[in-house]
Amino acid sequence: MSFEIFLQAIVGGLANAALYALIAVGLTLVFGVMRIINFAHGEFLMIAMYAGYFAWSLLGIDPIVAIALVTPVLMVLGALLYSSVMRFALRVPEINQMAATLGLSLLLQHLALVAFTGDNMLVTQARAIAGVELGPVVVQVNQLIACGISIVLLGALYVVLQRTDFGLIMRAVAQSRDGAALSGIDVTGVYKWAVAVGIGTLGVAGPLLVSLLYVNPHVGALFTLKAFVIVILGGLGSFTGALVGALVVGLAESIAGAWFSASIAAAVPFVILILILLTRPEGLMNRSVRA
Amino acid sequence: MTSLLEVQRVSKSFGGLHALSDVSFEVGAGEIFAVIGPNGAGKTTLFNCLAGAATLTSGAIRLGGQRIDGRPPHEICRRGLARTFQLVKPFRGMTVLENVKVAAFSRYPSTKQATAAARAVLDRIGMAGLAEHDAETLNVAQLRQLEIARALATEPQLLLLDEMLAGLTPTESTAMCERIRQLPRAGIAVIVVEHSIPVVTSLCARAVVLCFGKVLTQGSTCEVIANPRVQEAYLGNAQS
Amino acid sequence: MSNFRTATIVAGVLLVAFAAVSGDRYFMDIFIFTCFYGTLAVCWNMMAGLTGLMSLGHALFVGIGAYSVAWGLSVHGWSPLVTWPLGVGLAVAAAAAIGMLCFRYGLRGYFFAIATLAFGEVAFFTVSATEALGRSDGMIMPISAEDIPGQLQFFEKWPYALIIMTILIGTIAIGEALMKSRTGYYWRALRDNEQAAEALGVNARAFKLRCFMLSAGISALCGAFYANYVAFVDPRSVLGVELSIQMLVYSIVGGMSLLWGPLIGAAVLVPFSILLRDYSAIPGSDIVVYAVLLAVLALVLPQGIAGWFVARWQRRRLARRASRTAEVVS
Ligand SMILES: Nc1ncnc2c1ncn2[C@@H]1O[C@H](COP(=O)(O)OP(=O)(O)OP(=O)(O)O)[C@@H](O)[C@H]1O
Ligand SMILES: [Mg+2]
Repeated sequence: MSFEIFLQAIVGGLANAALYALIAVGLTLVFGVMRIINFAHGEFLMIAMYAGYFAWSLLGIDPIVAIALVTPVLMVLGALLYSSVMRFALRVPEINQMAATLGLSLLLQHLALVAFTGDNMLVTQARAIAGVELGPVVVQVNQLIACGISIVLLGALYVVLQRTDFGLIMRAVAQSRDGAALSGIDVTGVYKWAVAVGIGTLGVAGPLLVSLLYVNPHVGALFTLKAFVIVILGGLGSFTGALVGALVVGLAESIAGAWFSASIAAAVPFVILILILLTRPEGLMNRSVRA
Repeated sequence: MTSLLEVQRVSKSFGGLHALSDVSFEVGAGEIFAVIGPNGAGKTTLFNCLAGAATLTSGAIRLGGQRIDGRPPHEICRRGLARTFQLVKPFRGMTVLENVKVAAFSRYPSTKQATAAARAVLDRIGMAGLAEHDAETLNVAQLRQLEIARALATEPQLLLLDEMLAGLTPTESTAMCERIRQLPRAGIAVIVVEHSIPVVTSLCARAVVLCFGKVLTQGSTCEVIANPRVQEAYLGNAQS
Repeated sequence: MSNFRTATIVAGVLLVAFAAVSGDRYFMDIFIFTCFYGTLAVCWNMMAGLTGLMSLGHALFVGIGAYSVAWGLSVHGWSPLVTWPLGVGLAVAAAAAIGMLCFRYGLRGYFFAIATLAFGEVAFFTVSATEALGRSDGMIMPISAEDIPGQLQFFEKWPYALIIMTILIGTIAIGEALMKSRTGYYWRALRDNEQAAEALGVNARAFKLRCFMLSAGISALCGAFYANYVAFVDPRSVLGVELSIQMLVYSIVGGMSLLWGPLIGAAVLVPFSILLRDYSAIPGSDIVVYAVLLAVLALVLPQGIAGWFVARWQRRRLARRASRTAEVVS
């Protein structure tokens, strides 16, 4: 492998990583607060991608603009997800939680199949084929845009979670549900907001992603799994951990893609996951020692 | 008195927190021994170390002369050390009898013998009437009893009881004390963790006092209780 | 045969169903697939419902069994006498390796589920990229015009039905014997509270491993059967996550706390979804029904259909006994 190809892979990996981080942060936020892993996370991304696609193909709205429309819709869907599934999932054993969100994921996939057929759809604007030369490597303009917007949004989320009362309350609930409830926090409200924000981030990621990657009803499953890998890599529920995890997965995938076949590259995140679960199941970033 | 359990310079830390440092004491066969100390002193951590649920940072533990530290919990159980949990941990999907049978299987691999042994334990502890009830439906006192029944069904030489009286009514705790007092007659030594001083003085001849993971003092229960430093530790705790 | 009451009842019901469908190839096919998925769900649930280990990678073991048969036959012409034990052996070995790794590090709950999911996906992608195994197109097994019993090739469907019935009844019988023995008690104890179980002398790692290996072995047996029956294997049908999720669906719907619960789930859903698939105008409508059932039942009826009935029946019995003792007292 030549150095240029390697460099190209690195840059491509970094650009993907930002978008991955955005997708994974939503998953980790919901888990951190509610202790439920949402196996249907990717399907909401799929919905956001379709929304971005149709906003462009039917209404001619640029995906970047569509973000402003799709994000509120996804937040509402998140709130609906909370009141229809997550709320009840709090009361049942872990296996049932998994079963419920897995069921939801299957349902959304097949509803999408019925509604939109299995065809691949992609936003193809003029700038989709445009590239920017950065020294020896070329980056797609869309990739650059997606990366930039993701980083801005991640930064904003970080500030919200670390610096505002809202973030403080969320972290309090994440640390101890009962403690937070005792100190007068409306825990259900926090749950609803966490899911709304966690799914809402997908409203940003979806339109960006659909100008880079085909959307079809099964695209979500792939991203759910990638998000799992990232989130476990960084430590479940950790925001900064998800950023690091996304970097690792994005880079590993893109380097493996340059080196080996596409099928092998697809297996890379899972190999990473297996390695991490077996060596540091509490995640790369987590330093606390559990008994 | 031959010592059944020897705890030698046991330390345990969680990250930077020294939950136990240099704890040493001995317990004789057939003795009822007390571990006392204010909240957070490290009593439960000590039990976890003894039972193999937590690994030691340093030190040694011997049961009947043989090292048990570093051994997994199930092996320590088979060597004759049983424990109850401060926060009860019943098998909620099983009946009371089934709960006890799980424990009895550690001595009797055949279902028939294990059932008989489990029934015998339930009879002895006065829970026979609850045998077919779901563990889920028991109240606090019954759950505590179930903890003891399960521990006894493993036929231990040494039984660790972690705050078995907390939350019981006076009648219930008197009955429980009576039951504990019977144990040495069956050849079972007992270590109790208990906050109530009257209970400790009435049950135990000897005691060790832990405070912030260190042994404050040990010896005969009356002397230990009278020790001003112990009183200070408790009062200090009560004021805070 | 009071020791094998469930197995006897299941065998009786299966024989009646077998007799009922024996005239019709289509219904026989449905019967065979119901037994196939039923066996898979029962052995999956031995781990999930009875031991508390939820595997989302069980398709891996089905795939090992199926591909052993397909590859052994098409490449070497091996008979099932060789390929079935090979498949089961490989699957048990794979489960032992995966289990040792996972249990050594104490993975459970979500972590175990996702780890097994990852192992399954790695296998899926690896097979999809392996030339010798036909890549994602799969392998078509050679079939001849006349029956070859030695290669388990029959025109009629009833021999297949008998084979899968035997596997299913055997699985239930083994499961029933185990659930009444120390192993079964230990499994349920591990499910309910691992720490307490260990403190009471249960070697958690060894017993979880045993469960995993048994479940994987039976899954591989089913996979081997599938390959011989369908004569075609591809990654999607025998290695995909969907297959693992199917086992979960039947178990949740039937009832996870009972050995035979998942069988009820399969008996209700498999015929239903095959009929829906074949006769409904909307593609994938069978899965939509599944998915809704899965999500709703998992939240609303956590103990499943069979579990709900059994619980009701037990409550009735307890109430009757209580009223009887009350009469005696008064
Ligand atoms: N798994 C753990 N990780 C980190 N710290 C722990 C852990 N277990 C116990 N500790 C700490 O070790 C100290 C001793 O705790 P321990 O539970 O042993 O106290 P205790 O004497 O049993 O108190 P109590 O009377 O309240 O039961 C406490 O400060 C506790 O926070
Ligand atoms: Mg304690």
